[in-house]
Amino acid sequence: MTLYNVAFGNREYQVQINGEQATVNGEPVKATIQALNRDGLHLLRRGNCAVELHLSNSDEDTLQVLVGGRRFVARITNPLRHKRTRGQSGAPGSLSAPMPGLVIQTLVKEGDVVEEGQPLVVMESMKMQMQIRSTQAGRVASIHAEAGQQVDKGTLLVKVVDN
Amino acid sequence: MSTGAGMKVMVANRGEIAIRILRTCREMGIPSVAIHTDVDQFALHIRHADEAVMIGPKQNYLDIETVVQAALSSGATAIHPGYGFLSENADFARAVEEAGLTFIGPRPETIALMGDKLVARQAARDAGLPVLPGSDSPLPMNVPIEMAQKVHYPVLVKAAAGGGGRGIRLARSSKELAGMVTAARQEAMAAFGDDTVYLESLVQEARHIEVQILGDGQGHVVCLGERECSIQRRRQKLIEEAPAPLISEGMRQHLYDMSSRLGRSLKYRGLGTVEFLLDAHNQFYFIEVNPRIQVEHPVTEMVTGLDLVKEQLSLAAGEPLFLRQRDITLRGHAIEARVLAEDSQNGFMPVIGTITYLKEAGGPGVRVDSALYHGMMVTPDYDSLLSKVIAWGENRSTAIQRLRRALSEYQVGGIPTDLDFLLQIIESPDFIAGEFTTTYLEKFQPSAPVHGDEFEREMALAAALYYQQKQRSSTITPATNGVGDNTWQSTAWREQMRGTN
Repeated sequence: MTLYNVAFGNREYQVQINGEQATVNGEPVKATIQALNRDGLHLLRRGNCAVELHLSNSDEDTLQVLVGGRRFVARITNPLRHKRTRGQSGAPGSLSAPMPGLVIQTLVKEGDVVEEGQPLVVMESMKMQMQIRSTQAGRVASIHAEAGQQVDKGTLLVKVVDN
Repeated sequence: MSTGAGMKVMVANRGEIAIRILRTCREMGIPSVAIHTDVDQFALHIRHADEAVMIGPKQNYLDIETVVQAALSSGATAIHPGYGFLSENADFARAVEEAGLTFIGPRPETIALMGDKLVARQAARDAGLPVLPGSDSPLPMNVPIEMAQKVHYPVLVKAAAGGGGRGIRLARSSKELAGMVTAARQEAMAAFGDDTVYLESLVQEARHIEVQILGDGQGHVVCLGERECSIQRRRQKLIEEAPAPLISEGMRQHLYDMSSRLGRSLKYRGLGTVEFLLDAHNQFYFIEVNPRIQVEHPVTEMVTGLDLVKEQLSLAAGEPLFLRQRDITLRGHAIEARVLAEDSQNGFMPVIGTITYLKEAGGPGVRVDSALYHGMMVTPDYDSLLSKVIAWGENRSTAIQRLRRALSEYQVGGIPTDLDFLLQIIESPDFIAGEFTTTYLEKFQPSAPVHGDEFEREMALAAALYYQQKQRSSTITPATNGVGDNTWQSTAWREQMRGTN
């Protein structure tokens, strides 16, 4: 018997596979998948239904599922084999560039008290302007970008700490 | 002699519109040239042209001298600008003509006239079209307080050089005005190199309806029907259709009359779009003229049966405009949905990445204009439009059903897109009823949860099964699995064996 945790965003499913039998969150589901080629195309068969899926790993425990004009990203863990080791992708309160682009304007200065959701930086990418908003209430500890600066994805822009 | 004999067309654009134009060149037997920047050296559009000229760094699609030089060096006789980039730049059109080439579009002076939205408003008023109340001159650099207090709010701050929904901000009160003027100026400067702005009344609960016109430059103008483009996000159109739902024949005729009157007064040459707002009292107001082919032109092609690019090329080749208004009949209904590199589940943030899987939609009544290929890199250098799905049906509800079917066939892997959001919109009751305005998406709440429970449970199982097979196959060595050396076959084989148990 194998046990998997499959998460789509914050919705988690426990999948148990035991030979031919499978349950999802305790409810039995009878389905199999077959690979149609070596590039990730699969057929999900359930009863008389055949559904085309495209499955591909972006890393070891992240799986992209394409089906019916929709795209799901699943995080899969097998609790019996290995523990989740992944930490948080960034420290809380650190705002980084979500995209490569141009910093248009910084809207705050060091020491400013900010609210959650308050715009801190204006960026432009793909000809669109977007506001980078604070993920928490607090105080601006440091600013790492200035107007006119070209930044890569993930470049730290502003650090907000608890007030 | 066939149309376009002796012509060689360079397309000064990229992406799906470059491919769209190059396809018609191929069909007409007209030799074609594509241009591409260094980041676009593998782009799909260059493979649809007879020749491709590299024009340097990524911003060079906007460099007039470079683009004209590319045309001259390749022996092109005409330039098609597509939409965006230099398509509405009068200096470009002038430079093309001064280089002895044909500009496939309106005369440079028409582009200049329509490019200044304040002048365009005046031209429309002179032709007897209703325009929205607003300032008839540019705003001063610093808006005086007395002026800000006299304005009726909410009001739109609009870039005079604007277009495509850029350089527009909404001010709700005199307190907000100064900030919004600054923001509009910044965006206008970045997008158009000109930060002149003016004020225009905001029409609440308005619909965006536009008329496709085609003129021969001598005063003969035909209307090729209208399009409804009210489904917009951040003033960017997302879903467009032809004809407009819920307008009477009388209103439609009035719309065509106004548009052809304006076209005639300009002695309009080539393709153009006259944009209107329709308010809650069924009153039309002129907004602007787009002197170029539009992103949403396919819906017009689907209901008129015309190839609008072919019409442009024929006019540019010196053919007379044979079409008469009575020849234009609209058949059925067409809807277009824009597939964007934007994550609809994450605030529509633009996304980049490699396309790891692609299956485009097809079947009866479906057209896909796409720049995608499996393996393509989506970069942050240009706008986020990846492809357009257009569905035709004998009536609006059939067109919606087809579009829904087509969008659910479409699979794009590697990056998130807005495909699921498009599906949610066209499945919403108000959209199906044709009852929506330009603010529809601001308040839009999908009626059904994004992913049904049952469905997601199955996807969870599929993911787990895949993961299990992957782990198993990685522990089996090729020599002992009995069906050769590829794990794909062995997985399938095992599954088949299981099925026969």
